[in-house]
Order: sequence, then C-alpha cells, then structure tokens
Amino acid sequence: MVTIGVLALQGAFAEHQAALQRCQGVIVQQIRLPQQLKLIDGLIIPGGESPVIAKLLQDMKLLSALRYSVAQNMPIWGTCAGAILLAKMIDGLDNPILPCIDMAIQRNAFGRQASSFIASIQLNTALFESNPLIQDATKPQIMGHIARNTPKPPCNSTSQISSNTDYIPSSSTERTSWEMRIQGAKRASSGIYTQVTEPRSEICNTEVAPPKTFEGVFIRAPHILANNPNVVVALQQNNYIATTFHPELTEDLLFHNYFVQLVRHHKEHSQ
Amino acid sequence: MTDRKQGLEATERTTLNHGLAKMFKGGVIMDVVNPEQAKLAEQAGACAVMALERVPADIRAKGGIARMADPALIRSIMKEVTIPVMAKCRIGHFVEAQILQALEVDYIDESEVLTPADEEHHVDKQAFTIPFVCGARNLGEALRRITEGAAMIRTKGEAGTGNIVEAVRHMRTLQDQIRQVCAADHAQLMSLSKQWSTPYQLLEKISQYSCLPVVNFAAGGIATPADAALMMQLGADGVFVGSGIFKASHPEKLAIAIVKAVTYYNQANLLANISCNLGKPMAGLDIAGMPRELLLAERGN
Repeated sequence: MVTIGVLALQGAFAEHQAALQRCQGVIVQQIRLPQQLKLIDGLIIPGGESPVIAKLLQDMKLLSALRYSVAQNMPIWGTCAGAILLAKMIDGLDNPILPCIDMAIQRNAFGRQASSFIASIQLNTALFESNPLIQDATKPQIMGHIARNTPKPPCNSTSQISSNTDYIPSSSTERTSWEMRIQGAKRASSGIYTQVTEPRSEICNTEVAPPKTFEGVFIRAPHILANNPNVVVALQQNNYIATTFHPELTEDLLFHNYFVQLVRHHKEHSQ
Repeated sequence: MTDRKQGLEATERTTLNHGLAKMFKGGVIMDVVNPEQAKLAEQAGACAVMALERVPADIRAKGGIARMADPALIRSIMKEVTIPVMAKCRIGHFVEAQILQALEVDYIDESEVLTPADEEHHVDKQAFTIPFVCGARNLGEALRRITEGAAMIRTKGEAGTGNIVEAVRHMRTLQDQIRQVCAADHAQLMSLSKQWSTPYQLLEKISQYSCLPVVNFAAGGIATPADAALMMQLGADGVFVGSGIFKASHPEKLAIAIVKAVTYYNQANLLANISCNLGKPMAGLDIAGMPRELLLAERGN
C-alpha cells in the first residue's frame, strides 16, 4: 500500500483522486497544508491555473515543505499547470517554482481555449516496459510525444491572440446526438461521473504489452521547449514526471498506474 | 462517414470544454472592468477573469440597457493577463456570442446580468466551439441550459446585491432536486421531467451518477470569504465574485482572502484568520423588499 497525495489548492484535483482510487494498492490524500506532506509517499500536482497554485503554495508555506520533500526524492507528477511548476525554466518568469526537471516550459503555448485539442500521443514503450527507476537520472527521458503539426504548431508568443482557426471545425456542423454528448460528458468527467471499470492490469506485467498510443487531452496546454522534431508532451527525470495533457480526464489509467509503480518502487527502496 | 467524423469532433469539443471548467474548480472567477483590475485579480489568485463594461452593482444603480462589453476592452484585458478570460453576452443574443467567439475569449457567460435580448430563447450553444457557462436557479433550468450546450453551470443568485441569500437558495434547491431525482423511480422521473420541463434522459443520468454532468459554480451576491466558503460547503465547485471585490474598500486584500477561503472552505480556524482586517465589504441590498422587476435572476428560464 502506498499513500499518494493530490495537491488540492486549486484545479482538477478531484479527477486525479478518482483516477488514483481506480488503481490498486493506493490510499489517496488531499494535500492543503504543509504537515500533510509527511503522510504521503508521492504527490500529484494537478491541472488548474499555475499562478494560483504557485501563489497559494507560497502564501500557505507549502512551498518550503515541498522543497524538503524534493530533497528527499519524493516522486512528484505534475499535469499541465503542475508540469509548469516542476520546470527548471518557466518562460516569462524569472524564477522557477519547484525546479525538478531540466526543461524549459511555455504557458498557454498552443493558444486559447479555441485551440485546445485532443491528439494521439506516441508513447516511449521502452520506458513503460522497463522498471521505472532503471534509467539515467541526469537527464529527462521522453515518455511521449505528438507530431509537430498535430493539430497545429505552437504559437511563438504566449500573448499572441491567434486568429489561426484552421483546425477548428466549422461550428454549425458540430451538432451531435444526445447520446454522444452524454458519452462525451461521461468521458470528460472521470471525476464526476466515474465509471466503474475493470482495473487495468499492471503496466509492467510482461505478458501485457503496453499500448503504443494514449489519448491526450490538451487544454490551454503548456509546451515543453525541447530540441526535438516532435512536440514532447511527457517527460520523466529521476522521480519526477511532467505531462502537458490531462490523463485524469480520460479513462486510460496507464500514466496513473505508472506513477503508482514509481511511488511504490521509491518507497520500497528508500526504507 | 462525414457525419460521423463531425459527431466525433463535437464530442471531443465537449471533452475539452467540460475539461476547462474542471481546471477552474476550487478557484475564484472575478469580474473586472479594465486591464488594471484584471491584473490585480490575476495577482490576487483569480483562476479566470470575467471582462465586462460595468459590474452588476453599477448596472443596477445606473439602469439602462446592459450589453456585451466593447470588444476593444475585452481584447485589452486578454492582452493583460495570462489566465483565461470570460465575457458576457445577453441571453439569446447569439450575435454577441459569435463576436465573443471571434475574439477567442475562453468562456462565454450567457448572463441574466445583462438585459435579455430574447425572452423566449437562449443561445443555441451547441453551435459554438467556445464553451458557455449559464446561470440556473434549479435543476430543471440547469438541465435545459446543458441541453442547449452549456459546458458549465453557476447559480444565478442575485447579482450586484452583495446578498448571498438567493445564491444559497439556488444551490440548496439544485442539491435538493438532485437528491429527489436519485430517490425517484422511473415513473416518478417522467413526472419530474414534465414538472421541471427537462429532458427525461438527463434525469436518468443524474439518478445514475447523483450529480450534475458539468462543473457547477456559485455566483450572485458573494461579498466575503465566509460567503465563498458557505457556497463551497453547500457543494459549489468554485465561485464567481462580481461586484463584491471592486466595490469593497480594499479590493486586493479581499480578493486574496476570498481565493484562500475557497481552498480552505471547511477549515474554520484558517477562515477566521483569512477574514481578519479586510476593510468594508460592499454595502449590499436587501432583496426581500425589492420589486420583482428589479430581480435579475427572474430573467431567462
């Protein structure tokens, strides 16, 4: 049994909590106060607005406590806003918040809500098949990427109000039947309308090959500025994971199970 | 094949638009009327701002027709902050909504705070890419808006009064009715569907999952950190604060305090500290003695 905290200052923490509750061998704890960090073996920083989460971390003295946890190598996974907080360089900010991963990141790099998109992520299956800790801790490993032109390339500037709506389907054609909308709502709200599904088998189980793609929901997503022909959307370095999309909004528990395994591995080997 | 593809895209859009509302959860969305206020709201910890010409308290005081804000103002606010920007269109005014979509605001509030443009119809929100949030006083109203395509719901409350009583009434009504649906059998669901003028299939879904299918914020009359925490304890996912912040004597202090109160809504010892020395909140209005035609929540149904 491992205890995983979900930082519950602002954002989609309930959705991560619901996803973790579907994983096996996990106790989930919402984290709002510094002393609660002592209770957990790993932490998820959810999506939300990164300035809000960063400000509350600072004001409520959580940041210094969290830096202590980082010094202890506690596994941390940041999604979207959480990924921004873990970056060593944040575009437009002088100082990082919780520098864990050697990456530069740009907020809202793909544009405003009209440019939010869903794309198929190509996974680094070798990484998912290996033991999470058998890897080079000195530099970030790519966990997944999307092609540079899906669905549209990032803007150059965060403040640019993009008029490029080429990829937005013409709205009048977007009608759909009720049933599909409900399905969308259900799929979209793993936190609210949690479906009872069979727990996924352990991802490192050698008999089950991990899938090669993952449905990535990108909402006003940040962009990891990597020297790579593709758009890098998930990175791991040491015990830290950054994903710029929202695995908590889809059914697939691949990333949650991977993180649980990382936390379990860290707990077993640090005792 | 083409039809199916378009259907799939629309479902994806639903995921993205419901998803953005989830990112607002546990946060405060603040009304702002200029870039300076927007900056202050962002620095205080707002998770989004609502760009409008006048806050509801001023709309009440000055009267006249309240419309969508000047697009130049909305653009200047969008340039000023990095957090999402929402803007209001009048109920049923789908051209204002089209203009807001062309501006690429992140969310449109089809709002009873502005003067309604159509007394019969709301905007057909399924025809838009950009998500909508709409006000509701009860479950039937919420589900009609969701059926029209709203990706997020808020209580109507009574905007511009600084009086929480209506928001509390609307949130309690909504929760009571959800409980009623959960306890109903199929025959009763049809009766409720008839009584509330709401689609039967959605009531069935509610009875299955015991909650609204979209994020639900509180709005209309929130003026103090305690008001915000009250709405959170009543089951809101987050709060909108309209006139409450910039009509108070110390907007910045109050804004920061309300943001904290929404995160620590069930920790009274922290709320006590958060609520200290915030200056004078907005004066506010008693709703009980108010003539019906002055009640904004009566607009749209």
